[in-house]
Amino acid sequence: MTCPSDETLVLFADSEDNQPTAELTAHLDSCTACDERVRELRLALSEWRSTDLVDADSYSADYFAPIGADIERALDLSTAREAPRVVTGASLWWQRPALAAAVAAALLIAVGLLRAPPQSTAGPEAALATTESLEEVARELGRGLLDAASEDALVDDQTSLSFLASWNLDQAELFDELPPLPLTTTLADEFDLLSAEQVDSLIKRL
Amino acid sequence: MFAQLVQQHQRSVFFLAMRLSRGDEQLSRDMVQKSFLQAWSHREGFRGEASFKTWLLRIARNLILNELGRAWRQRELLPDPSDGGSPAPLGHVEAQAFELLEAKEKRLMLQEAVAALSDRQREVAILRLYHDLSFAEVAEICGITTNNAKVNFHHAVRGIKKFLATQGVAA
Repeated sequence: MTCPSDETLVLFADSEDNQPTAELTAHLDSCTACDERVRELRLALSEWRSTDLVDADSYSADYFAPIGADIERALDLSTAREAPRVVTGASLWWQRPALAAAVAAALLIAVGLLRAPPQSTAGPEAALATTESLEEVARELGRGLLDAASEDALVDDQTSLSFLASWNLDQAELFDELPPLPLTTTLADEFDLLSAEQVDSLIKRL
Repeated sequence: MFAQLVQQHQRSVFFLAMRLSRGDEQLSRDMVQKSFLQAWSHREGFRGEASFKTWLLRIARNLILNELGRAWRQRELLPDPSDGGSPAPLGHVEAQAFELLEAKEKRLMLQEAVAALSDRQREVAILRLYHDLSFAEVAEICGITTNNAKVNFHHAVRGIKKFLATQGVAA
């Protein structure tokens, strides 16, 4: 084999994972000049890589935090200009993961409670609880979750009203109008979303 | 979700802009913001054929080159070698090996060497050497073929070595 082109040697030297042909390998084994050229190129490329054109180490994470914040702020404004936000109960709450999770948790808990009344381990008061009181507990729980999830004020009263209305089983037509919830987890999983205080509160109420 | 992508990739965009602009920090910050805003407004055009990083860097590269072209036309960026704004001539370094230079000297030397390349060679070399991208990704970002990227990289390597040699430094 005659000596390969300089381009071949550069590309071979640059890519450690570049699989050389058997012919090239054999040539490098026998040609001192090409082997030396590859060694020299590897050294140079390694030096250049380790010598950045900018002093990247002097830019810490703190430097980038405000840049990221500016982008997020600008995106909010940009989105607002692009598509003015029309807040309706049915359009917003299910599009936001935190809210969707909160709604899903509350829904599942309530459905679970309604379908599986407390066992004998529950106290006498709980045993006398009516469907209405259970539903009321679920409503309050859901309201609390919504409040917690909407701290960034992107959810308005209309959303809460829509959510609460969805709890009213007599208003099934409104419930049916809502897009399907992304319910991909079990009731137990959804329960994990609740804080210990919320679970304690729920148990005490029951 | 998008905020996570910003966190994940803003450094890449920033340093690409810094390297291409020879350290213009304000321009680079602006380019980060513009790149993400443009990525957001064109997000439906991202079909996952390339990685998000490659797609984003392509947007950034186009914005940066547009901005640099405008700035250079206005003579705002490239320092006049006669006004002392550029690194001092390094002929006095004699035949010292590149490896023996101080880090700052190395950087200045490489900045000069890379600046002496053609635009295409420069961006290919920067993307390949400092952004850990494959030739296919470099080609995607620059809008050229993979083979073209390899050829340009080869010329860039030769150009840098030649520049360093003329400065009396064996790389």
